[in-house]
Amino acid sequence: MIQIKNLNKSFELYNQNNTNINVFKNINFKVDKGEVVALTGNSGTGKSTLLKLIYGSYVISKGDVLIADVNVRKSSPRDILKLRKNKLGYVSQFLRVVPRVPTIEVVIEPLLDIGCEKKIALKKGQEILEILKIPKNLWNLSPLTFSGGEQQRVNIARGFIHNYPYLLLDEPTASLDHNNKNIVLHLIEKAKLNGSAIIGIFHDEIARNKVATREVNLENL
Amino acid sequence: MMQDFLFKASNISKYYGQNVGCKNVSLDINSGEVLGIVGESGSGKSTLLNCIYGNLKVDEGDILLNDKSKTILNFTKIDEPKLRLIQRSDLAFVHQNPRDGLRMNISAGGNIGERLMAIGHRNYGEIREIASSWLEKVEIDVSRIDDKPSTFSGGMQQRLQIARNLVTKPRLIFMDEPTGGLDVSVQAKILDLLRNLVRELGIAAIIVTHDLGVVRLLADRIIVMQNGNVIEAGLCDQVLDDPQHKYSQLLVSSVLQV
Repeated sequence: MIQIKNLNKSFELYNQNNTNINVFKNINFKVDKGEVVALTGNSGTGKSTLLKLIYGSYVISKGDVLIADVNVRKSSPRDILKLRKNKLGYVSQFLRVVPRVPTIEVVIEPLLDIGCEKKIALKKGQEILEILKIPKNLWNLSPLTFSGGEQQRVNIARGFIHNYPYLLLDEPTASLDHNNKNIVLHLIEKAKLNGSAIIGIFHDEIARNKVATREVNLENL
Repeated sequence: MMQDFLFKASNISKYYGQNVGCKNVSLDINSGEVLGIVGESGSGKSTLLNCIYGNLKVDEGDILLNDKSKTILNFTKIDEPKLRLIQRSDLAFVHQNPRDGLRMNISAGGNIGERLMAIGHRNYGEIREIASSWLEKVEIDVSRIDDKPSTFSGGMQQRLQIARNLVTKPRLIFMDEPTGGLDVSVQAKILDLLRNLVRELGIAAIIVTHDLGVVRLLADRIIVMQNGNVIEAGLCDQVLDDPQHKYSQLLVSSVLQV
């Protein structure tokens, strides 16, 4: 279970006239196994910020994020890295990879990080790239040269190659065409049935209605 | 498990007369981890790196290495020959300028082979074979094995320096701006090489750089330095994406987005 308790986030920007930006206050909700919670609200209500707080990329101002038995605010960097490696996946809108590394290597990295044998990892990598319809002749090229939609699918392949029990999705279908969108929604559906607890941002209402079991609107909290 | 750590420096201070090199810096690293040290020129990054490697004598602090035989050595307490031995067997240091880390008047193969001989390799054929395989790894044409590094480009020299340092499979590599003067495609190759070595051999690396793009791709944790002090430390993406200190915010916001 992911539990968000009285979560507050503000940014103190020292070099910009000490501006203090309050993003949100006292957010509370829980996400159980097999649930897909869609975060909604206008731009600037803090949806991506919330995902980054849960993932540990942003510092929690007040309150707690509990993932299984881990309290994110109180965890050391090493504990957060361990949590990410084993349990907590995150699919962002942007692909950040070492240049020149082939797509297949980028995709299987999460499996290698948990000690999976390379042969098995490669097999799984090929499977997920096939599911996501990335043409075979691209697998040995760096994804940095790909189109936006292809890059996004490489990111998704990375996020779904390991069965993370907790998954954060930031606009996973944003730059995909109809068919590819359905493939990704199917992957999310499968993870949900597998018992993953998922929090996502889906601007596309049709996509959201297909996979979300519940919505949390950050404007009404 | 207190004995689990690979390397730990505590309360390191180094003064140059009245001036602070670095002050009261502590850090630790385990096998398979990459630690980045960032900050602008003159912030004390290189001083710190040279102190904890044992190149510079510290004024205060302890430097502990859990060596291959699981004995904990304190660099500030052991004698010079012992320290040099440990530097050769367990550690490696990659200089910003490859000319500082290479022997310019012996061949590329000799530069790699010398390190192997220093840890006991004697079979010439075997040494040459290992040297060739490392040249391949760092993408230097094996036909250049008998050429002197002075005939290499800067990028090739840097890759040769990395090969020379990694051939003995050290457990901890110290790197001072390893991709500093290199063009971007060579930088990428070196980053990729390092990441694979960290994962496959469980090597740990401490990397000093002013390039935040490099640390983001390589480091698990980072330390931000200013005027010899650590002003912020933590998870790499957290420090880069949500820096808490005024100076870290300035540093991060000064990078051009590409």
